[in-house]
Parts: sequence; C-alpha cells; structure tokens
Amino acid sequence: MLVARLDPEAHTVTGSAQIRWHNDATTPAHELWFHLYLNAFASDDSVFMRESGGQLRGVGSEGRGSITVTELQIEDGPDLLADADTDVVHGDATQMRVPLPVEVPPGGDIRLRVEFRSELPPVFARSGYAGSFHMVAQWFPKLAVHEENGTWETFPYHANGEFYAPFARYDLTVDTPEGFVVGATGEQIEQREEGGRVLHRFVADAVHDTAFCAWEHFRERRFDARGVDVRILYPPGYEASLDEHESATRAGLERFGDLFGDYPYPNLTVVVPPRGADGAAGMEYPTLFLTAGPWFPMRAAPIGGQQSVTAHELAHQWFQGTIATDEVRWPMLDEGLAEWATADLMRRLHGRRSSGMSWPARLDYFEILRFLAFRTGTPTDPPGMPAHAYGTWEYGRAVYARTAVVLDTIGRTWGPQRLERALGLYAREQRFRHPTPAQLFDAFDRTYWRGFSRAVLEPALMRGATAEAHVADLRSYESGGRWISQAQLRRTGELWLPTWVELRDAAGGSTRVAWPAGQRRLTSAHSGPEPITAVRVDPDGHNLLDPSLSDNARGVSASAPAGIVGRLLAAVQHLVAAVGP
Amino acid sequence: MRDLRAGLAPAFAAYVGVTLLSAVPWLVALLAVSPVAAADASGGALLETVETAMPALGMGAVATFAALALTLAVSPVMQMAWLAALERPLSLGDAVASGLDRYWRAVGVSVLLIVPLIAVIGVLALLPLTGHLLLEDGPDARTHDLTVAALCVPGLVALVAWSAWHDLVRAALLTRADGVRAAVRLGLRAARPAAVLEYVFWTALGGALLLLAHAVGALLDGQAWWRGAMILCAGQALVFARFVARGRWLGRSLARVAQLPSPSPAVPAAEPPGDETADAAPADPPASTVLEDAGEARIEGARLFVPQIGGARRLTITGGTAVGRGHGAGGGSQ
Repeated sequence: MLVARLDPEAHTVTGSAQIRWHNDATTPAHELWFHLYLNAFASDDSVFMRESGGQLRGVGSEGRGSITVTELQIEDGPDLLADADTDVVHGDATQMRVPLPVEVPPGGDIRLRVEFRSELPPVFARSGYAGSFHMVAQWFPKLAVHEENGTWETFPYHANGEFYAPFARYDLTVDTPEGFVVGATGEQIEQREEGGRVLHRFVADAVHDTAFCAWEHFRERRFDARGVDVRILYPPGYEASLDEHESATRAGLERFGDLFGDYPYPNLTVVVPPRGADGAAGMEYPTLFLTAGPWFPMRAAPIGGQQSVTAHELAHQWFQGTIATDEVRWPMLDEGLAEWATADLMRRLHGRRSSGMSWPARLDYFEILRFLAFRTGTPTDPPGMPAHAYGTWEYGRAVYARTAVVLDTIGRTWGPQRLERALGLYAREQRFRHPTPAQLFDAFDRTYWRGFSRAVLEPALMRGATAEAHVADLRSYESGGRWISQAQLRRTGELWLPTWVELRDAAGGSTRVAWPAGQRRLTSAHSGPEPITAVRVDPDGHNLLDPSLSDNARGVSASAPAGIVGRLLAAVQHLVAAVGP
Repeated sequence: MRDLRAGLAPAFAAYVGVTLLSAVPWLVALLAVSPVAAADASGGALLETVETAMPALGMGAVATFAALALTLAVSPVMQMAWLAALERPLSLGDAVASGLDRYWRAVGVSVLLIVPLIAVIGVLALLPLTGHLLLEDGPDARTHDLTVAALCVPGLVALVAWSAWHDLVRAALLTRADGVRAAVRLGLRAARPAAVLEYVFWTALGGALLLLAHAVGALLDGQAWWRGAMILCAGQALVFARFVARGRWLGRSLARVAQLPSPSPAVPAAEPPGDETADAAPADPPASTVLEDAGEARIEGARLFVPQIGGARRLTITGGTAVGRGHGAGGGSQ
C-alpha cells in the first residue's frame, strides 16, 4: 500500500508504504534490495548522468531530483535504515541494500514500513514536472527482483533500460490539491475529499510498478475497446489528434490481444503530455502509458506520428508489462519485440507500402527500420546485448530496429502466420513471468523446427548475423540460334535464408528460381529464344537482413520513378518562379 | 479575352526563361536520383539510393541555390521586359532591351522598398512574439499556435501589400515615371486595397496552379510512357498557366498605374483664360506628350484628367489640342 502526497508548488511527493514481501526463492533471504531511481538525477556522478551525458533523446536535464528514505523498519519491529547502504556504486545512490536482522525463509513473508520524500526534477527521463503537470514515475523505493535461486537482480539506473521488478498488488492513494486530474496505474476505486485535498485511490493486481500523473488541465476521453475501459487524458486543444491515439489503441488492443493474449487488466490510461513535458513522453507503465505527438494529426508519416508512439507504448503492456523481462540485461525482449508489434500494427492500419510513410514517398515501416539498423552509421552491434552496452542512438538502431527486422525477415521468409504463432506461444506462456531469450528461442524452435533458433534467430539476435546476398555475374551468349544465359549468385552473410531469384528476358518475360537455404552459391543457367537481361535476388523484399540492396540486381533498368522526375521538375520550377519575375 | 491573348506570348517567354533557369538544378537532381531501381515496391532501395545520392543531391542543392540567385539577379530584367511586352506589342529582343534599359532603376525600386518593408515587418513581428510570450506557459498548445499564427497575419498582409506595391512601382517605372522616387510615389497611390486584393487573387490562383502541377507530377508513377508524356505536358501546361495568371496581374498593374491622375501637369501650364485666341498658336509647337492607355480625356484649365480606363489606347497632346486615337475614344479638345 502506497500513499503519495503531491505538493505541486514544491514539486515533491511525500510518501509512505506498507510492503509485504514474500520470499519466492528456494533459499533464505538475508537482505533486501531496493531501487531508488530518482537519485539518478541527484548528481552528475550518477550512473545515469554519466552514461547519458545529462540528456535523453534530445531533452536535457535542467534540475535535480532525488528520493530520501526517512524511515524503514520491519512493521512493529526494528529499524532497518541505520544499516542500509546506498553506496553500492560510487557516486550513484540508485540502489539500497538493506541487511535483515532475521532471515526470511523460503516461502516466508516480511512486512515493512517505509517513509520517503521524493523531489521531482524538471521533467527529464520520464519523471518530473513541467509547470503544474507532474509525471511521478520511478518515485518510490522499489524492491528489486529476488530470483528463484536466491540472488537479487539489481542494478543502478542506467541511461538505457530501467525496468525489472517483481509482480505485486499495488494499492496507491494519490493525495492532491483540489482540481487535479489524476491518472495512475490500476483501476480507480475511490475518490474523496479530505481537508481541502482530494484522495484518489487506485488498485492494480499483478503489476510490477506504479506511476501516476497529475494536472489540473487534463481533459478526458473514455471508450471501451475489447472489454477494456480506456481513458485518454489529454491537454486542452488536442482534440484533433485524439482519433489517432484512439484508433491505435483500439487496433492495438485487438491485434495484440489476438497475437499475444488478451490485455489482462480491466482498464488502461493513455496520457498525452502537454507541450513542454516532452521529457515525460513515450513511456510505459503497467496499465498506463504516456504517448507523444502534437495537437494536430500526423497521418502522412505513421513512423513519427501519434499512432506509432501510442502503438509502441501499448505493445509494452505485453512486452515488459505482462511478460516482464529484464530490460537492462535483455532489452531486445522488451523494446525489440514492442517495436516489431508497432510496425506490424502500422502495416495492418496503413498497408505495407505506406506503413512507414505515405508522403512524399511511400515507405514500408520495416524498410525504414532496416535502413536505420544497417545504413545509418557503422554496422550496429547485435540486439542481444545489455542495455548499458549501447549509446543512446545505437540503442535505438540495434535494439529497436534490428530486432524488429530480424523478426519480420523470419515472418516474410517463412510466412507471417508462423511468426505470429511463435511470438504468441512465447507471450502466452511467459505471461506474468520473467523470461529470458532462452524462452523465446524455445518458442520458435517449437513453432518452426528443432534447431531453428540456433540456425537463424540466435545468430541474428545474439551475434548480429546478416543475410547478405548479391548477384555476382550475369552473361548471355548465342549458340545455334538460341540464347544461353547464366546468372551467378552469392551469399556472404552468415544467414542463408531461402529466397527467390527473378530472371527477366529481353522480351519482357520473367521466371523465378528458388534459391534454397543451404546453398551459399547459385548458378542459374537458361536456354531460350531470348537472352536473360536482368536478374534480381529477393524480388519481393523478404530479406530485411541484407545490409545492401544495391547489389541485389543486375541488368534491371535503373531509372528514377517517373513521379519523382515530374515532382522534382515542378518543385524546382516553383522555387525559381517564386523568386522570378 | 483580347488582353488574355496578348498576354500569352510574354507569359510563354517568361515560362521558358524560368524553366531554362530551373533546368540545371533539375538535371543535377535527376542524375542523383536516377539509380533508383523502379521495380522496388517497398521503398528500401529508394532509401539506399537517397543515401548514396547525397553528394549528388548536395550538388543539386547548390545548383538550385545558384539558379535561385541567378533568377533573383535577372528577375528585374525579366519583369521589366514582361511589363514592356504587355504594355505594347514588342519583339522579344525589344522587350529584353527595354528590360535591360530599366534594370538598375528596377533594382533601385527593390532596394528602396525593402527599407519600409523591413521596418513594418520588424514592428509587426512583435505581435506574434508577444503572443508567444503570453501564451507560452499556457496549457493549450493549439491556442498558442493558432494565436501566434493569427498574429502573423498582419505581417503577411503587409508583405502581400508590399509585393503588390513593388509590382505597381515597377509598372509605374515603365509607363509613368522616369525616376525611382516618382515611381515609388505613383506605385503607392496605385496600391489601393482593391489593387492588393487583385494581386492576392492572381497570386493565389498562380500558387494553386503550381500546387496542382506538383500533384499532377506525382501521377507519373507507374504510367506507360505515352500516358506519362501526356501527364508531364499537363503539368507543364499548369505551370505555364501560372505564368499567364502572373501576366494578367502585371497587365492590371500597368492599367492601374495608368489610371492614376498625373502627379504633375502633363502639359505645360496654359495661358490664363481669355488669352486664348485662334491666332495665338505658338511659333514653336511644344513637344508632343504621349499618354499610354488613357481613356476619354478632357482638359480643364491647365490640368489633364484621365477619368477612365479602357478607352483610348494612346492620347497625343500637341500644343493646346488633344487628339484621341484608339478604340472608340473621342478626342478631347480645349
């Protein structure tokens, strides 16, 4: 049970918690570990600030934030604070080790009382305030995960990846001044006035975190989607963009529910933060997430628009929310799978060709991700590394983009339904658990064939294997009134994915040849009345793990699409005419 | 309709000139994007092409800026030539020569007019800035944005009015005034709200035609060559139509300037009434004064009034006698 009293003038939260901790491990517990994440913003020496350089995704830190535990004791028992140690990593106070005077046996319980005071920073890294808007996240002493083998999985607050916590029932009461609209993890079961303030009580079962936002200017839209009570909190003036958020939420609850199992909670709160609170945008918490976007709808570019942000954060309700992986150790299981689900949803909403952008050119969402992963800068590291091993930009390229294109390459190569079955199997089996990549690989092995993950998924995710293929040669010669043509094709990547090769003859006829998975080289010889003049590997664009597409074709007439020519001419004429006579 | 037909040739010349100025950057950009594999449906190859074409696209951007700078430099010549060709039938060479003759004065007009523009825009820019500062911390981003946008309107109106004034001054430079300052004053008198609205109409029409041409260009994707050629022609026809619209405004600017009463007597001061005698013809007739596009004219005392447009094409005043020539205009006489 948590009680949080928000002082919107001082931007502080005075909190108290009653915690019942159950030892699920097979060994006795002699200590407890808490995360004190707000201390990431307490000094420039914290791990977060050192790793991030004081900025996250273009938003800089503009002030300090911290959490101070003022009281920690076993209920009706001894004080624990005196022996607590926050100096686990030098300069960083985001972890607290608490030795226990008595051990907690396997299956045993312990009840704690905690008092604390959180000072919120100007909104940064998803926590803090902007004016009277408050996003109160990572704000209370949060227990780390006590693994089954009796070890504590604990880590400082890193710049990339922050979540890993045990499932629990959270009963949260938010105490605010009158007039504040509050959104929080869980279902609101009570709201009452008391001494000129308002108490908002939220209860959530089987969640691993709780967060809340409070602002007196929030407007609300409410609707039911697939049996879920959805509440969108948005700033005044954002009505025009709400349909984008709503359509993505509705479609996502349907699609993700079908793929990964129904959304397991009765309600969902979608928060559109006001302008100026960009540091809070785009973040997921159980049963609540913050999306992003301007007050006007951005329909031409789904990849940067409101829908994709909402879809991504909604996907986190599964990948991390209910399938609670360790984001620090295996961020690809969190961000990577959520990004695949996002792009998949955009494909369903907008069609493959326009899923990433519809104007000025039509682009496939996954193609944009492939480009990000392989063509923007140096080759990315594999997605299967810990979050703190990447820089911020590399984190996005490797973990988000590359994981998504690995999965979709599998889907395009062996069929989307099979991929969906594999992901669905993994998601359903690991619901309310803390899986690792081993469980994902196992689900794929059972869906495809034994050894599939070792041959395809593991190299692609854990070693960064690519599936580069290219046309090495194409030649034709005439013999006896017929043309003999020969195309040479090569694979240089570690992954040899089955694909098609398209051959076109001089008369415009085309034929397709299968290039099986086991062959590094393919020599395709043809005899006919016309010479083969063009050859293209993977004509349907299934292989997103090929870092270079420019060598995938030979003899294909290379000319700019006529539309580009026409628009280019008009654009230059318009520019010149604008300054002309 | 007759004016429209008369304006087609100058508009076509301007269209050709602008298209030629556009050709170099367009060709550079075209070469940059030409490796795009047309068969790729998903856009993956397009992204790679853009990536590999970045240096060439950079050259295209430089060429575009160079073309814009060149256009800016020759624009006064082109506009004055265009106005001259609209004012009376001229060969292309004569029109260009006329434009060249007035080049520095046309540049001078722009230089002179830019000063009040900067001053007015500078003051009017305080409006959106103030709106931004007042609403920056408010909860409603849309109100902020729309208010700031609305407060930009006075500046935009000033800019539009200035643009109309600029065109009218250049028209005055061609027809009514030798000096830049006199042209500026005439242009200012001609820049009535109706004239500005007329400028807005023709400019908006031209802009809409350009946008339509851009949209038509997008239809070229996936077309057979002959249909593509037709679409390309349709797009260019729309661009040409934009020049016709621009030409219509320039023609109207000439007419509006001509419509103005002269700021100073167009004829030498007449003798006082009573001194007028039949035998008082001057020994040396004064030089003829030619007024273009004048309407029905009458002379009262020492002043010449030109009350309406669209009548006489040319009014020649010799000594104390005014003789109208043109379509249905009666000559006036004192």
